Amino acid sequence: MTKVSSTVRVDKVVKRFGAHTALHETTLTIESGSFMALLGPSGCGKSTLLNMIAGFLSPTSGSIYFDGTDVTQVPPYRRRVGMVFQNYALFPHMTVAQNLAYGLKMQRVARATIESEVRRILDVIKLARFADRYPRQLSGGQQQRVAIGRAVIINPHVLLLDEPLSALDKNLRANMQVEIKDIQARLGITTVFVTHDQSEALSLADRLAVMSEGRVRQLASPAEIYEKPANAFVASFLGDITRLDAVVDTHRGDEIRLKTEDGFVVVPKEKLAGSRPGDRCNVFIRPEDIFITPTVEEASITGQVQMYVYQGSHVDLYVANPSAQEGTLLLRLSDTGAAQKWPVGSRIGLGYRAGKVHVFGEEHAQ
Amino acid sequence: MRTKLASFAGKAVVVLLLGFILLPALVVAVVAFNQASLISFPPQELSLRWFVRALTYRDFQKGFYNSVIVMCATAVVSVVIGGTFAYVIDRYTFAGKKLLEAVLSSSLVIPYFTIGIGFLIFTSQIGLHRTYAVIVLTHVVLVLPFVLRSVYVSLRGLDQRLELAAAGLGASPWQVLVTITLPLMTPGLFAGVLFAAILSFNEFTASIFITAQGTQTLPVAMYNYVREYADPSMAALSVIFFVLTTVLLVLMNMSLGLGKVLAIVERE
Repeated sequence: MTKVSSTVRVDKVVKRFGAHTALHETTLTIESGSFMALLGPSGCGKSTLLNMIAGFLSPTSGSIYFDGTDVTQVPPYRRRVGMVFQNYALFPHMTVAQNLAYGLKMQRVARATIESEVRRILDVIKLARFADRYPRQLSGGQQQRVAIGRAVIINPHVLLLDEPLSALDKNLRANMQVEIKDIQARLGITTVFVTHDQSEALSLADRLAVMSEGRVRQLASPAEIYEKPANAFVASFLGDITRLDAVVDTHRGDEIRLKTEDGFVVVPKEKLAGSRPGDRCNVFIRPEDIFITPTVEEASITGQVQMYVYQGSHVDLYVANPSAQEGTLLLRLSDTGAAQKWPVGSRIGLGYRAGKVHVFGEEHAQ
Repeated sequence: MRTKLASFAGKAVVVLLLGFILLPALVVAVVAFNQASLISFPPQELSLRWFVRALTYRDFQKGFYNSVIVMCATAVVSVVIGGTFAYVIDRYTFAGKKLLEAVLSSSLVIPYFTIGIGFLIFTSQIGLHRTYAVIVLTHVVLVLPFVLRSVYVSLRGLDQRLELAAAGLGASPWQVLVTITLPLMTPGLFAGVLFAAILSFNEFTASIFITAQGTQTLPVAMYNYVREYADPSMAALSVIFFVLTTVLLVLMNMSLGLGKVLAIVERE
């Protein structure tokens, strides 16, 4: 009963609710067997898009294709999508086995086949002993697995997960992320995963669509999104990052000098191609790409040590600087003895890996 | 020591309250065993003759038979109508929705007396006034608000994502209704049936007007009896009534758990 999962193509889809546009024109493709994450804050349109792929919402305009077949007008019960909801939505009046069998029953599959498929999936989700339990007798993580099993057993064109892990505690979440990835890889099902948790998206997805306000801001692999954010929103949404307000000062050969309120930053000129002196811009630097210079004088950016936050494997250092967003820069140090060398209140010089810095003109913001 | 006293006082209050509520029933029950042909309390001698009379008196037997027919028909019709309206009110928005809800619940604010006379006049015009139909029709109108409410409450507790999940798994709208929605509505539907049945069986004020000689329900038959005779058969009949209802509720509780059925207790 295994079948190659579908390629899902979203073609110029728009969704409007009255005067409000929940999703601006969006076109993207999810390759068969791949894992796509839709990431963004509340209201960005990710759940809207997911629901349209499922068929629970109709696009205002545009089309959706499964393997080249237009399914836009097809009702959800004929689309064969497996959906996993945030609250699992397990049928409380049915046992685990009955929940799993439901989709196949609706497809009128032969009883013997249903039984063997249910047993197979029970092994995949590692709940063979729980077949006759009711959902209320299971823990959150177990219910999650049943929800996933129920969705994949019908061999869906695509598996859709709507923030399925947000109800779980941190450890369980991490375990479930691994399990989901494992099941998905083993069964090769095209998967779309909606989440607002960027670390989850980064760790699970083959490709990641970062969304805000109804638009896809960047669609790329997690590595590319983290290392080469396309705009200010993506840069600040993923991971911790420091943002500095700056103004273009001069071009000098291969470099551009950007002036901050009390210092300056020099970056390769490709970082802000086509810029002219006087242009306002934002400089984004990851905390792991900022370091403390041996002396204050040699640094082009300085700041006052505000707070150390011990994180076990590293220390987060917050440094006050007037050009930084909310007045604070963030550094990540592996040297846990830093607090003694540069105590709170002391003035320090900051260096940065210029190649890793991201600069965006202020028009690009949102 | 203080806590113990407080809880004792609390329990005592509850016992007294329940006793107060049950007192008339207890008095009636005792009277039923009276040997004499008068309703007197306390009874001088004890006997079962009034129970025999209650069970063998033709009007009571006919009344019971009529009440059962009407009760069953009312329960079925009111649950179907009430259940459907509850579903529509819960799931859809449309112009006049509030008005609809008000009309469906209007029998709560109109005196049953008025409803009874009204239906009597109305059905006389169309020649239905000596039938079971008018009684069932009236009873349905009377019990509808209760049925509607109890089904509606159970629907509100139904997570619609369950229905979406079912649809995603391939269930057509009809299949979703039958395999998911209705089974999960059963507590509300069942409570509705119970309400409808009990209210209909006990209904008197409107029934007086719309029942005829041949169709009179048990409460009406009892009323007519009491107007002519003042003996304890009434009391005996009440005891039978009371015991039957209690047995029914106990059985239901044992098999279904009334607390869960009436959605008073959380389903574990």
